[in-house]
Amino acid sequence: MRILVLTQGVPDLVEGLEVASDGVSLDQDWLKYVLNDFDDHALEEALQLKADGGVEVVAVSLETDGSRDILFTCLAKGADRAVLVPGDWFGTDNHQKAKALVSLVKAIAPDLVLTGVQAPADADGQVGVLLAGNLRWAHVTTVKEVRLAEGKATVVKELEGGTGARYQVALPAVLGIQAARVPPRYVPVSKVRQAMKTGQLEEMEAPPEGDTVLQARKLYPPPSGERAAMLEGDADTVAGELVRILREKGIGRLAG
Amino acid sequence: MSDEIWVLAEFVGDQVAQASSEALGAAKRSAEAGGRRVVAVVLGRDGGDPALRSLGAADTVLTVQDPGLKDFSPALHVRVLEALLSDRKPRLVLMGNTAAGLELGPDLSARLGSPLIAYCRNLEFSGDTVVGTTQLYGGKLLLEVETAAAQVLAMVAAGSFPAVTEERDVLVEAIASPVSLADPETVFLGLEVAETADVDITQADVLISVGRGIGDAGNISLAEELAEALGGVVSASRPVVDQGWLTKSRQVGKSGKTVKPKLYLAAGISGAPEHLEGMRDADLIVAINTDAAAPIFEVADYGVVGDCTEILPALTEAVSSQG
Repeated sequence: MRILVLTQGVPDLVEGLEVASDGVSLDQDWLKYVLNDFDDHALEEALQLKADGGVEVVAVSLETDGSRDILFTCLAKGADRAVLVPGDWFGTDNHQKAKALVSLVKAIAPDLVLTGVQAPADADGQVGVLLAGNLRWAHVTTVKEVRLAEGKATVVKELEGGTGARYQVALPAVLGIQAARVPPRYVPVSKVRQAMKTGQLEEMEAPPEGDTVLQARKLYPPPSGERAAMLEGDADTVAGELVRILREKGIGRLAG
Repeated sequence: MSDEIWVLAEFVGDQVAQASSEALGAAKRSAEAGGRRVVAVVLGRDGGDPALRSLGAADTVLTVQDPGLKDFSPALHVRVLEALLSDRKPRLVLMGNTAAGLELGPDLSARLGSPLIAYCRNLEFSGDTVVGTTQLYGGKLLLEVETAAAQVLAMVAAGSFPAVTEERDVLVEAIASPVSLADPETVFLGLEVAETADVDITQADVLISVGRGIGDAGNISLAEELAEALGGVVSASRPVVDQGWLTKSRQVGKSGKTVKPKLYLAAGISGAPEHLEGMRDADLIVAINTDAAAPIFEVADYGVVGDCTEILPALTEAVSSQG
């Protein structure tokens, strides 16, 4: 059984995001790329399945700043192979990525593709289900648990409100992971460095295919509507002001 | 070119789901502007099912009667909808950005070659061009897009359009499945029995809610101490629950609980759209976050730019000293 984990480097949302001078894309100058959080969960679920037995895990990443580090981290965490898809994938939409990945997925020939349920910039749809649609493979997304038995997967799909729905899925399939069954493992930097020395990244080509289907007109921050009244000062000043407000509104024990 | 706008309708029990009512609201707005018709599309319900009355906001209802479609199956629902969309070619197909919509939108888009606007917050026709606004980077930026494609799909983000509901006897076209439902690639096995919760956060008047900014599991106690002092309980955003720092029963948001407390204090929560969906109707929202640009400040009444691990203990101290 082979599991392909599709990972993406995404802008770190903790950092400030600036719109580039073209008015439709992000200013890349100061962007820091990190592994998409949900892809980290997809990798963890794949590694859990590997621990259950008989599974090879292949991590794949479309090249962005930081994608080599991401792939070495995948190796350090326990992936068996790491495949870099060279190119400048920044600004490529998910329809193009999904189309490009079809031949690559067929070449790697996994039984299962796991990827994060979503990424921060899925304007034209989430890449996992788009990939499944292009491959004409089965898919389930918003998945929080995967089990394998007798050539099929049994998954729990998370519905609105957190209710789980169980599905049996014929393989090959693409699963969009919402949360792994356990929190993603932590790996110390020293182990990643070791993977950089001893591990190997394979490179496989997959040029973007097809035209952009949605034309971008304008990228902009949401208009500031009724923004919060901001409280200023040190922690004690702010705390005092908040207590005054909570008393005034009669909140909890401060009522009456 | 067809003049129909379709809404893929979902139900909660026998009532149209909130997400679908909002998609109907979006559809009606686009329909009124261009003399188009709104068709609510239902899979797996009988033509005489009284639940279809709750789709009265649509001009007509199209239902595929096969009982094998009643439980959602990604593979089967895509099969049926791909056939219907290719055959009848609706101009615009709207669905909620829901657990079901996330399966249908991208797959149908890939199969049919019709563009998809995800996380759609606004939608209108400009002549024959569809102009949509999608929400990116956890709600920090919006992207306006356009497409002149003959068929456009959109997944409507929660809270973006007014929900339109109307109970009436609506004209129903009931048909058999246009495709075979044999050998589905995904088979619905059943719902999970919910774990019994230690606490019901939907009943609390005061929620001290923690997000990634709380730093580590050890700091959860800072929120617990404030909750204790104020007479509230601790809740959390998804990353905190995924890390195993708090139980699933404490999760607020799309895949957790929807809450409406008197006070919602968001500590270290950036305010991703999925989180806001579960708490934006709280009476009073106070947000503490180190990032002044965090979207949580757009819905909060009061905001503090700062480290919640410093503000929470100071607040606990100030509340306790009130005697």
